[in-house]
Amino acid sequence: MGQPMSKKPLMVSKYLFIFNLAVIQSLKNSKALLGLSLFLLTCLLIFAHLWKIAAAKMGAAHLHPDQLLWYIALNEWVLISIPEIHVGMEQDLRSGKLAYLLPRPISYLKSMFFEGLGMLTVNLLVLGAVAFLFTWWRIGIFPFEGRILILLLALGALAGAVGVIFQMLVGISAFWLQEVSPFNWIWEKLLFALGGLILPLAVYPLWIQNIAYWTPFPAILGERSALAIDFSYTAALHVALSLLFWGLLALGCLSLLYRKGLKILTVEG
Amino acid sequence: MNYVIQTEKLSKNFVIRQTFPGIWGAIKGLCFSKTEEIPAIQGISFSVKAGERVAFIGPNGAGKSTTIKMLTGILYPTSGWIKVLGFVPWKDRHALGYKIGTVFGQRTQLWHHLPPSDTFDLLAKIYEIERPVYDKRLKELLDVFEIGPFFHKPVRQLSLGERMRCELVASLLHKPAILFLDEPTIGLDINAKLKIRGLLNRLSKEYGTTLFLTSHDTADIEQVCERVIILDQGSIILDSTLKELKKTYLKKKILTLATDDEQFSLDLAGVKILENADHHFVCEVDLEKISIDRVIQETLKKTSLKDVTIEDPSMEEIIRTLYGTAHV
Repeated sequence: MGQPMSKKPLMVSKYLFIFNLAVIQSLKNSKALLGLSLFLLTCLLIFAHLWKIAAAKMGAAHLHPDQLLWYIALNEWVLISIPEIHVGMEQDLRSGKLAYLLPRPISYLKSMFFEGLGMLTVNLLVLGAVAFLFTWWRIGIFPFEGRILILLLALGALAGAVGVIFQMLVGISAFWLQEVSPFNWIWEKLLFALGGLILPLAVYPLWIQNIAYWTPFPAILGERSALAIDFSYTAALHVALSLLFWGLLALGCLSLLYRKGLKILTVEG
Repeated sequence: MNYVIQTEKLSKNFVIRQTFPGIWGAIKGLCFSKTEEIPAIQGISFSVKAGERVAFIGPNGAGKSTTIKMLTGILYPTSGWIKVLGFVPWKDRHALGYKIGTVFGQRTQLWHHLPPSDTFDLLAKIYEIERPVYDKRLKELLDVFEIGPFFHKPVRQLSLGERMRCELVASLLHKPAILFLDEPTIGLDINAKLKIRGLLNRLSKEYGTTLFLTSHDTADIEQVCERVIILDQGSIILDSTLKELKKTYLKKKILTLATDDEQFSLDLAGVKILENADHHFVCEVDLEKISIDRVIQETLKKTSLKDVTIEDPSMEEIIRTLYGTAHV
């Protein structure tokens, strides 16, 4: 029967299976997907109108409303797709469920990450289709070459994965914080503001731009989506490298914090 | 002797941060902190043989869950040592994980929106069970635990009893040598409880699985276990077989008589009348002071009898007495 023979391929297959189950679970939760899709459509409709008025009145910083709708669609697509995995992690930590999962021959942190990736994948596919079809229908032109579209989709997926890691960082703070929602609130607001959710960072005052580019937020949202307005392979490479850097840094922090938290749990109970 | 669990002078202290009362206390707490070390487990030693069915019981806060957490590698002990199936649990947690199963009544390892079959498949991956072995094992467990009818139903739609049967299957897929059960029947109705107890007995007989069970329901202990370890305030106050426990502590009997007279008086040392009305007489007889024969003889002098019933006091009463004695 079960043997402690944790060979690498076997370990990987455990996490892939978790990914698989998370995909199935997300697909079965069709009401949640429908809710997210409607929310995304509402956001896009509001911003489409808003930017048409703003462009008519102010010229909207030399940006065409159609371009901005693609920008916002690419932002909202990733933002809404990132699963709120911190909620489950907080529950696991606060209820003590984590302690009971520890004897299983599998890493809690990795299993949560793959569960998050599974949920993200379904959200990205469904919301991606919604955002893409809506924006295309609204504007009537398809502005990307196939190659660029694939690159934008891949960067969106990478940004979503980095978002999952940051969500896990919020969740893991439950080891020390009584309530993680204020921490999540700060993360979200910084992402909206410094990520350039509704307005490209290029139109921000320079000093805010300078601050923003020292954070992971532009790579997750604005800088990546700005590729829809002004695409270059150099800019795309910069976004990809930024995402990899911030993703690896966040993973390192996550692993360190988890080890520290686990020590508290196993020693202090 | 083939011991699967051995502990020696096992202790666990928790460091608790104290809070100061009131607003000033809260402000003071921001700058100063005071900690206190609370002993949860105080040097307990016990061993469990392979295949034994042990009830590990005690009042709330006695240290049962803390001990189980140390035995399964979740908590580090402050001092003493443990060996479970030859492993030191907190050092070899994952290696031990392949050999033990855990069922915690108030926790679930099943995926809420998916049917149990999906969780079982995942657990087969986690425990690295080869497909043919897994298929055979699953078929066996599905038969024993009769979960076929809801095997493909989402977990959120299952009753608590059905979910608990699935939890047991989930814990047994990798054929653990020891099954740790923490309140496995909590919240279940009487039929579901009976079913779970029957299944645990069958499991122990058919697979020789060692059962280590904590429960506040004494019927779980009476119907499943053969040995009882009672823990109170972090120390073992009794470690005995169930038979021995009953023999030693059953010093009283409950005598119920159906009498011809509607009421009658009986004043004997060692007899405490519990009920005396409507031809129904119930008393508690202290066997150290008076025999049952004698009580019946004395009753017959006063009235004639239609029926006699002699019962042992409940296990719950014995355990309550034991907890009480330990605090004196």
